[in-house]
Amino acid sequence: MQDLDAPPDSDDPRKGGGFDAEGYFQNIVIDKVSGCTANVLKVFTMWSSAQSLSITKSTQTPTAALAFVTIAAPAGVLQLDYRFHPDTKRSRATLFYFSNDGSKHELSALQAMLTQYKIASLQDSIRIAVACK
Amino acid sequence: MSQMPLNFSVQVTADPLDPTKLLSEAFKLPGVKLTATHTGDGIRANGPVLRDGALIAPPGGVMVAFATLEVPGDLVPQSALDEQKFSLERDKARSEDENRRRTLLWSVGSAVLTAVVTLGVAFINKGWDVKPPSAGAPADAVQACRASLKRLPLLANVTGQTVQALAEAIDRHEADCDEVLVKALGTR
Repeated sequence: MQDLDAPPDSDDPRKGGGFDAEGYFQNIVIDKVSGCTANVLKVFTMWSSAQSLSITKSTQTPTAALAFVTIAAPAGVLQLDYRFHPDTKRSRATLFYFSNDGSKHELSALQAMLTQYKIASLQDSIRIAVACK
Repeated sequence: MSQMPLNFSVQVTADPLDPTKLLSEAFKLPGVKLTATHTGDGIRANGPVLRDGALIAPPGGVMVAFATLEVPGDLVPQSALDEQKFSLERDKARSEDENRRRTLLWSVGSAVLTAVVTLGVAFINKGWDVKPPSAGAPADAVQACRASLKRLPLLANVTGQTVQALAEAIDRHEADCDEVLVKALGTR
């Protein structure tokens, strides 16, 4: 498996999400892809535990993972969305924040939350997990 | 290959319409030449000539009864000519028949080819092995809609949640997902 500089992604949400960690896989090994997905979910679980949060719901397939954490301040839900696209050989993990009315917010505008929950460390861990090295 | 000429004698008969002419069917042979004439007693008679398929005897001459003729050795019987003609006709007919058969086979081949092309087009038009050009809702949109659905119960349990805020969340979910689901259902 080999990672290269990822070209621009037309599916990049660019706004309202949080951070993206992406990797470009030139060669796909199926067993390893599912392992990468599991590792991303594991990283998110470890981070939530470290922040005294618990994952309230998660789903996982060999190429996708979806996990939610409910937070009290600001009140809402953090959602980690990970997908691997075999056709484009790209993987992407995106963290979203939704307030209690279901609206999506830009994470960079919520500095207090980023600091409180150490989102930067999560970002670093997710980047490594997505690269699947 | 040239063959030796054929010499033979025939009995001649007087033409009932013209006593100066003597007739024989042999005079009609192609390339026939008169080499000698004889009387009924075998005496050579000089003077008669072969002209226009008849032996012309000079007036006052002896009565010619026999004529000696020469024909080219490569003459073939009429039966052989007829056989060759029939053979040629058979070959011609066979050739025409083969041509007709070949034409028929080509026509059948063309018809089969046309049918194959027609079926191919039908397969393409029916889309039996080809996906429709419009794939409906993008997979990412469907995934986002699924995530929204799974998120809703969690939002209901958020600390300090209100009925109004939850109603707004439900409305957002419907607004985001309805069109996606319609597109997804439209492809089925």
